[in-house]
Amino acid sequence: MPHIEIDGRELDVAAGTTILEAARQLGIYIPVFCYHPKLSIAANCRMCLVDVEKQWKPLPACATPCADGMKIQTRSAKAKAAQQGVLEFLLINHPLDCPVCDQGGECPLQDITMGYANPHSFYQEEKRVVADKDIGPLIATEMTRCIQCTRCVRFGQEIAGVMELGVVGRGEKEAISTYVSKAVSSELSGNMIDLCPVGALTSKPFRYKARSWELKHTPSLCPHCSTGCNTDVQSLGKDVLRVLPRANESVNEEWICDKGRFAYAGLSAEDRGLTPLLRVNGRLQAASWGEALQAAAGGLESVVRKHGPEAIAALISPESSNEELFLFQALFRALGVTHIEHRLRQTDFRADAAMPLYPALNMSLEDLERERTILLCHAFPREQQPLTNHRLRKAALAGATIYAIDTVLRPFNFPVQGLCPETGDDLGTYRRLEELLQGATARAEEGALARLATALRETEDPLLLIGNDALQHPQAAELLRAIQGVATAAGARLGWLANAGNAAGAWLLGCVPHRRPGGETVPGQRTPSWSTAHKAFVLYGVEPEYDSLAVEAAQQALQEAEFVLALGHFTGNLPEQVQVFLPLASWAESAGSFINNEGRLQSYRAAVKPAGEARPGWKVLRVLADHLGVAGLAFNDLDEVQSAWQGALGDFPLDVPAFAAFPELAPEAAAPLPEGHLRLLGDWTIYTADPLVRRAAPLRRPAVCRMHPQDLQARGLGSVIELRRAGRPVVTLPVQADASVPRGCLWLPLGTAESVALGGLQSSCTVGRASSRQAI
Amino acid sequence: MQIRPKQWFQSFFLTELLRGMQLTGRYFFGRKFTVQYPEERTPQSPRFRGLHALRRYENGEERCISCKLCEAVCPALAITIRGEERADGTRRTTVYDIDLSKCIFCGLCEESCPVDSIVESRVLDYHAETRSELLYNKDRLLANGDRLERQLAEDRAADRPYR
Repeated sequence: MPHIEIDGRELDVAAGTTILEAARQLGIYIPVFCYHPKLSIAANCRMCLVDVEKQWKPLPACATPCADGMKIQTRSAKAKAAQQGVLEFLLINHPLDCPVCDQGGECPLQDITMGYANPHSFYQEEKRVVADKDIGPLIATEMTRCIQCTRCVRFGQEIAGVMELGVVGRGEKEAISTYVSKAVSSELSGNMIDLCPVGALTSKPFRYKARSWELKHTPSLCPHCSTGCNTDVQSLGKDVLRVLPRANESVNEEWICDKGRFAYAGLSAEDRGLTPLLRVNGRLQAASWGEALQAAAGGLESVVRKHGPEAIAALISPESSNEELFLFQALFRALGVTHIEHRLRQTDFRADAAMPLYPALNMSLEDLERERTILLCHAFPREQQPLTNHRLRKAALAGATIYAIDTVLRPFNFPVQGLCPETGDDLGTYRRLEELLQGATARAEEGALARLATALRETEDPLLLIGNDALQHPQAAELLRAIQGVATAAGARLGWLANAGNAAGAWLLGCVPHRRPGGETVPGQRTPSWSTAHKAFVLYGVEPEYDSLAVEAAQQALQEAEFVLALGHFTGNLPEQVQVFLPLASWAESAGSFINNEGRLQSYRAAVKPAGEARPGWKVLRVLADHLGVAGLAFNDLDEVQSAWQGALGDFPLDVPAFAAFPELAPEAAAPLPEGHLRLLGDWTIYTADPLVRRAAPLRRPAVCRMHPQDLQARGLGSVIELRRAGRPVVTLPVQADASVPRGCLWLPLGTAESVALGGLQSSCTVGRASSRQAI
Repeated sequence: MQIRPKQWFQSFFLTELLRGMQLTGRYFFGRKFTVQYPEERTPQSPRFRGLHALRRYENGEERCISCKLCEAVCPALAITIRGEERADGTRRTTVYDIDLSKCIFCGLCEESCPVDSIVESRVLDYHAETRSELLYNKDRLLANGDRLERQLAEDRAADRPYR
């Protein structure tokens, strides 16, 4: 154990500790630019030079391991001269444009210059200028300011897993650039903005909006996926101006994905619901809260009188807070409503009885890094849980073998042995895998599957993770049972990648028709959410057409509904049948709590005041309960709601069995496709996953569908195609050739205007070449 | 009671009164200081800190770059700025308000400005009848700048050697 001395203070450090780490242990500050604890050591900024006894040149603290007996001076004349020299060189080519630079005020170069630089420069000559790069709608570049610390390059290589930025040129011509001129597309790219120690990479949506010192910081959470990343919402006055990660080693380390970082832009969307709306003479008109609440209660009461409470379907978004979820189900259960549901992205509910208490990862995110063999079952965490994906990537880099079975091969950012049946028979793949695990002999063409079976058998305790797509599968029940079969045969542990921000909370707090809070079973038959048997719909934070898998059924059910009450944040995609709209405060405007994929309960506070007349969901539900004459929900503050739901739920386990016993599943024969039709596959993309993110302008990406190249060739299709379906408008979409899409299928991005126009994934469509006019 | 001759002499001959009158006389016959305001003005330093103005460059482009240093340094919190990226990609303000009912005319805004945009002019006799008139927005401040630019430029030039 090396014994060292820094600035006269003695310390024993573990072997291999660098001088910088040792100094940080002692609380001695050494200035750095290129060093970052999460990235590899580059030692190319030279800012951390320190004076080591018996070394005639100063040494970089970040890259020098401590040796026994080292005596280090960080503030000696030699160290100071080195620091001043380095800063002088760095500032030679750094423009003095701090007043217009967005990094000003939170710039390490600015701070370290104030603290360590020689106030005089000998440099008289011209500064160099580097052309700015257009690297997409999220990151603004000002490459003249770059000091070549290469943090962004190392981040891309080591964390994001996509080598998008690199160093080109040498000496004075050295510059950071994309190799070919293209946009940075990694889902973690926003973190480069935080990493950049100067103003070379800054946030484009935040550009010139505010200064770091005037922003109010509110510790918050990201509502967009089940990882539950900790964020710092920064606001000025009434506006949320940016969202940055808040370090939490056990959840998101110090990163967040671009969805969590930039989705706040949707908060000020044009169609934000600012006042309650009432439908008068066929048009939605602004109304007072009193009128709207009365109309909402009256509408629900009249449906209850006419058809009974079973005719109401209460649908809530799984991005709602625990408090909202609990109050929502309590209110509607008290009314006698049986259909309380958050799962609009599932159509096959036959396995409901077998579902777990909540979709739990059954381990901590940190433990995920230490897994050796992982099989991803219909999961694409890179888009659906980006920071969970980061843990998987770390596991892969540490030597884990990761397999994935899916209908379509997804572009992971770490090595994955993907198994996608060419025929599209993913269910058969799992069943066959189970047979192989039970000892069946593999056929010659089953090489990959046989290798997976061997790996699962040979690993002591493999892990199977079930993703969003398994629930979205048309035969979800059979698929889940097949996955369980594989797990049993392989002796594997099962974990769920919960499919929405607070899906765990929605399950635990009884926002499913067959379970009360805490998982107590509610007996009775159930109808699908979008059934015409439902005469009234309550839509809480849900956009039926954009958030449902069964778009056509949703449209039809709403068409025949007598009363539709919508509570939400946006009015743009409200169905025509909505009679009352009550505006809700967004997650940034209200307080609450979420339960993440691990079962970790985290709470957040309001960062800004609600927009317009919008009100926090729990207040709206509580007042609606008053109007409906429901007793027992007269809570006066959020703490009361919190203790109410915690009382109702009790302690919940962090490890839950992934499945209970499966009920008998009647085999369902898939209807054969009509001649010439393509089967529709699809999924929500990272930036169309929920109403807020769909409205974030910087995250908007053009919708592209995908087809097998041979299908494209056989049909003589170009780069833009027309999709046709009986009774639907013709949809024109760009198409990408993708050999992993099964033959005879078309991959559609869901949650887009195009997928809604086409009526979702419910049936098949025909394709044709787009006429040249539309192609332009 | 003890009689002191010196005191008695001074009281009898009213010497204190005469000394007072002497001072009055000195001012009465001396050079006059009174300025016939507003027709006449006292001389002002080029560093005089009066009404604020926002300056422009010679080509008409506003100088302010929305760096918000003046807003940050203002001890009376009298300055409010909102900025954004203008269509041509430059950093500009959308709101620049100075509340003159809060301002203490310390001149820190002027000192912190990296582009000599916000300045305090020699104007001291502005007035307002309502509080809202004392809220100077960007247009009014730029109008001040346009009106006073010659003097402002001269004053900045005169002060340059000392900055």
